[in-house]
Amino acid sequence: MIAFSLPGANDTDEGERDHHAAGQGMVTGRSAFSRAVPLLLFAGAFLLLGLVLVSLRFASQTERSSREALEAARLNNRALLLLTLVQDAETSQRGYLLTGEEKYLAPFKRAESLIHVQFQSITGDMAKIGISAITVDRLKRLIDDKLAEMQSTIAMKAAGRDGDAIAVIQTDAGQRAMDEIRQIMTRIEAVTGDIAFQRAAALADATRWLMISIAGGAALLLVLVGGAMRLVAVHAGQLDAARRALAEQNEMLEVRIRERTQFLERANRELQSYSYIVGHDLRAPLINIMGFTAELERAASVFAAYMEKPFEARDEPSEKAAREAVDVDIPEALGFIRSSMKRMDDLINEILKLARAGTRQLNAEPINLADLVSDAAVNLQHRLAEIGASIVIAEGLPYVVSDRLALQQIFGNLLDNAVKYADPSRSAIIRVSGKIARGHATIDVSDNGRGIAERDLERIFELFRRSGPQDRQGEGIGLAHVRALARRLGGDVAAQSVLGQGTTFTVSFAANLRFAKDRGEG
Amino acid sequence: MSNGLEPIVIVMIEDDEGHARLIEKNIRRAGVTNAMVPFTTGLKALSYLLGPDANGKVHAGKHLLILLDLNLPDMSGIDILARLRESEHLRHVMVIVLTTTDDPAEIRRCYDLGANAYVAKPMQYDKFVNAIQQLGMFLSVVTVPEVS
Repeated sequence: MIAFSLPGANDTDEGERDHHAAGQGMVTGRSAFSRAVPLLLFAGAFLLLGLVLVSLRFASQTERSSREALEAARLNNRALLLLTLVQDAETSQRGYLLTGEEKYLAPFKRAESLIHVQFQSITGDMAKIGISAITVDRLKRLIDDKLAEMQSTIAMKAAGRDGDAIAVIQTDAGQRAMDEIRQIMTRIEAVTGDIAFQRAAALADATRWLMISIAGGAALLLVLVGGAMRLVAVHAGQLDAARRALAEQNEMLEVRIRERTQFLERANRELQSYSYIVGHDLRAPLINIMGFTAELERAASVFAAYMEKPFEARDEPSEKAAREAVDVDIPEALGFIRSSMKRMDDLINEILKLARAGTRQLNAEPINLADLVSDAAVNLQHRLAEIGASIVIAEGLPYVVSDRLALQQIFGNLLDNAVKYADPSRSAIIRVSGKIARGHATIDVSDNGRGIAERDLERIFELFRRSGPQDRQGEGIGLAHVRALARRLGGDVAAQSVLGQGTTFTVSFAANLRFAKDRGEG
Repeated sequence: MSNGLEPIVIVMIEDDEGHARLIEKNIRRAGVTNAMVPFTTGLKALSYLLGPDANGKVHAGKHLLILLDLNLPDMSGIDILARLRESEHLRHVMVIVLTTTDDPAEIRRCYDLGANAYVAKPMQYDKFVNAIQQLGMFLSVVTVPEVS
């Protein structure tokens, strides 16, 4: 009765292994993600550093370009200032030569003292912006010449030699020097202007790039922060999921332990009632054997006493008693002893049959229940025709993976019972319907037979127990057998009935025996 | 009958033919000649005892002794006992429970339900005969005035 078939145990193990494998797959997937994201974040940080460096370079380029543009502008200014100084000096000289008044000489004096300093201050810068040394020298000589010409004319005027001074001017040497100075200055202005323009353009470029790189950095920074936050969220989610899975597993374990405990308690109760029933039922014929053995002894002693009497002492009553002992009591006792022994033998055989059914190895195979039930109906065809009964199999009986022989016996027994206990006052209709829900097939076998009293609804599943008038052949074994089989198939059987109207037996069993938890138990 | 005492009828509810025969033989051997009504199933016995009204009125005022086997195929003897004690007319009928068990819990349950005596069908057959014979003595005492 209580036996675990080996393939069942193996199947369960495989199922658990599969489950674990799936779990590991999930974990691997998660950790790949966990590894990839920090790597991406690191790459992002590296890129950000690069962007910062590029920005720094653009910033320094900007700074240099602006400084150079500024320097070029300042040089231009100073060159203009120098030109102005020379022009001031010339204007001042002319004014003095015309008027002879000392006051016109003041700008000249100031220019004279500043020109060289001013020239010195721009010499280096001119070289820097690419004005050739020859030009610089030329400019210096021209300025020196111009200064010398102006100083000599002013000195002549001061000495009263106005004619000499005019003559010097009329040589046009001063005029020419002045023109050339202006030319050089114009060139310097052009060069510095060009430089300023170029630097300004470079500045604009660099600034644009700087902005682009800063914007890029900002975007990357956003991505990185987002990535980091996502990573944190994912980790938190993983932790949460792991915690939940653990809690779930704990709960599942508790449920399974509870189920197991219930099952063991049920098995224990069944075993108790089974041994109680077997004890009772085996004891009944034994009591007969003992009782009639005593009767046999009694009858034998009556007959022996009669035989021991001398012939003439044998009176009529004692002869009658002896005759009765031999003719009636002894055959009756022997008959009861024989039938009791046969009864015991039958009981023991039935018990052994049940025990064998309990240990038979179940074999899970795909089964169309509609076919199986109609085969069982065909086997009853003769008796169905006899009492005018019909079996109606509803559409949509499910396909299951289960033990064929066990299901044949279950439905064979239930249909046989329905036919056996049909109500003769009406034509019997037996309906079979079923469905699969949550991994369990549930099949109803309903009849319109004589029904079962409510107090007997559980009792009928006990061994050697029968309900209602004992007017049909039977040992009270079929339903006990059905229950044992249904439980082995991972389910159970129950009955609902209205006395006088009919009975519905509901058999449930695992839709797929390979996944049945309580396989081989029952 | 003249003195208002009707003979006691023994109702034997016992599914095992052999047991029934043994009980009858031993009761007779003890000198009890009362009528015996045997039943082999609980349902038949109940329908006889409770009568058509199902309240036991049919036996009101009659003297019955019920020998009740607990282990019947169609229903438990305990159910029969409970039904008898529910009936107004059968509440005080003498019931002697006969069974193969000597389970103390079951014995107590029978007494709780109002069994007058409990006789475990013993494996020691002598004891069983004794019990039946004592029963017979008791019945004889009661029935003697009626017989005379």
